Amino acid sequence: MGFNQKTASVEVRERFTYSDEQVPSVLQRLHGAQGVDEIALISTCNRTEVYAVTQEPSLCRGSLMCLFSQSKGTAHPDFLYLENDLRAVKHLFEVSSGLDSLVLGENQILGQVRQAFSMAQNAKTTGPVLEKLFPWALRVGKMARSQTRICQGAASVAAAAVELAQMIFDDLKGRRVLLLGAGKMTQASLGLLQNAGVQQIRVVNRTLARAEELAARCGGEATPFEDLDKALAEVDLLIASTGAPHFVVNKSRLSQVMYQRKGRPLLLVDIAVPRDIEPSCQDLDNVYLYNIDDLQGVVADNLSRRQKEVQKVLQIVDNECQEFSRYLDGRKANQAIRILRESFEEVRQGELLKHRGSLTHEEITRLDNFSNSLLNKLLHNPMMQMKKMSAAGVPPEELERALEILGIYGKERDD
Amino acid sequence: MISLLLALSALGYWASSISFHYNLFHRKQRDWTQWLRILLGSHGLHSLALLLLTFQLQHLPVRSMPEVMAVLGWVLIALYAILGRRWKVDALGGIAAPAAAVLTTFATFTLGHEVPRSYQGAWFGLHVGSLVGSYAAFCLAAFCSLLYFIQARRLKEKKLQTAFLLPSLNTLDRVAFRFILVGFPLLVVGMVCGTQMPGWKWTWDPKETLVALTGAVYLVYLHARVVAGWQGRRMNMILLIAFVCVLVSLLTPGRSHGY
Repeated sequence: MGFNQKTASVEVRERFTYSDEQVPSVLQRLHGAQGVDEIALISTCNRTEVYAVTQEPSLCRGSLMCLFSQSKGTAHPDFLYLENDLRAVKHLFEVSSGLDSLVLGENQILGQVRQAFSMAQNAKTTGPVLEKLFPWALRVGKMARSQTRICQGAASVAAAAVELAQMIFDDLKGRRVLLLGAGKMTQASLGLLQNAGVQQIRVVNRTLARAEELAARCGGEATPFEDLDKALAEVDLLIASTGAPHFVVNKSRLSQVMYQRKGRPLLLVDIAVPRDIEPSCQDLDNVYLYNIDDLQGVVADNLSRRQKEVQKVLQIVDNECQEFSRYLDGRKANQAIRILRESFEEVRQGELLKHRGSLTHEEITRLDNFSNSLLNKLLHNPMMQMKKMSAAGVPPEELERALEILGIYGKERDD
Repeated sequence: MISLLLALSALGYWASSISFHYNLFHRKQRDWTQWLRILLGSHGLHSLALLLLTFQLQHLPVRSMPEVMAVLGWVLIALYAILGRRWKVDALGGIAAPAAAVLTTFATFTLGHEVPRSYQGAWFGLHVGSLVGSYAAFCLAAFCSLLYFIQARRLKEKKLQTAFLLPSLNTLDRVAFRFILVGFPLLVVGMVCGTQMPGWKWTWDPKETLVALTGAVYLVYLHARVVAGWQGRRMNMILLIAFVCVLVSLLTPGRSHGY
């Protein structure tokens, strides 16, 4: 049960987003509720989903709804989706594969699913089903990414800029970056650049104070606007996003800078509108200029290529769902076999108890061995047959019906 | 037997070239496994052919143009397999494999048709061996430069879907420089050993003059790169010019040289 960016607005999502500190208490509360056997919670900025294992679906649904509404505001049922049995399994597999994400095939969700599972384990709210389901979902996510191109290519302008830089410099480790202007897009690129390991970030802005402010935030260095040429001669990558109505970097200015660079390539990323860098700069040797349209084109191409991979990923998800379904059926068959064995064992123990008073210790031991051996022989064929039927795809309900005929399963349920 | 092994290795090199280009340009995948297996298998056959040839001739097979071409193709792939892959420029094989295929095919069809010169001695072995090694390194450096221009063009034209299949510009630039660092000392050793051969003197032999000119072009490159710190497009252009000198000097017949 849950909602995501497709079904709920940000106002709703923010009410039900749980921080890492809150998740354990929410899990404990839900686990203690009626009808909930196992539970895990995935809470990200785009989705809040509860995965519960229950024998009493209606009771469990009520508990989850009730606890949801008690904790933060009132969850309107319109925003919630509820999936049962294999549909829920398929949903989790789609989530871990990135099919359900805002950016198709994004990688972050895999870590978030792993973290959700780990938190549920720590809160001791998982059981045999979730212990199997979540690692399975993580495996499906990895398979989708390794066997298809669902996560290939940058999916945002900032990521495209970083990817582009890697095609020129191989590695951004130790590289120097110049941020021209302190616009929002520049700031969006900062995190990615820092993650990629850039050595030095320099910020140039017409207002030095703003440059210093941004430089302080990213651990960089502010440079006066007058020293732009000097900075350009030293850096490897320039990201421009000023609000200037004219070109800030023109071809003649850059050609002088390029001579000082002695052939070192320079990547210019102009994400400002109107543009900051004269387009003819692209004609200079060792200069690679990309504007916002180029980068958006790259992103659009990548996303459309990812879209073409969806069918392949869905195929993987469907196959794995069937595998998981077989696992669940096998588990139910094992449960039926266990019930059969326990029921007969109970009868045997009862009969042994009746004769315990009238027989010697040695006779009791012999009788115990004899009855145990007899029981094993009698149950061997039925149990083997049940295992074979389960492996052949006979639904577990059929096996349960067989037990009902023997008057075992019904009794077990009545108890 | 030797011709058959050479022919098979040439076929293998052609097959690996086709497999490489099919993977890179048709499937658009950086999957090198299949074609690399074919390449290395062919190189094994090539090694066996050269070994048998050496036993048959009782000397290193470097006394005629076909023999030298067969050895050059072998060294080219050996250098690529050892150094190119170590320096993470697997894509270089896309040019190295067809080049080796051309050299080996030439050797297959011409081996035995030329009368080898009767040069002998350690100086001769060192002279030719070093020069073949240096030419192979220069070939690989030039292939890096070629890839550099292809990659630079793709980045300029914003064809990123194909650009990501090749190594980065910096990697290609750096690896080309490293191959020159391998090839240039070998060139110098080869030239010095040549001067030590009996009866040698400077007579403006066309081949020797061209080799000296080639060395001078590489020296200019090394100076600009190491001392002045230049890199990028111009440096790679110098490498391509120097490679043209290599080809001309290799193919120009000399007065005192058999090939």
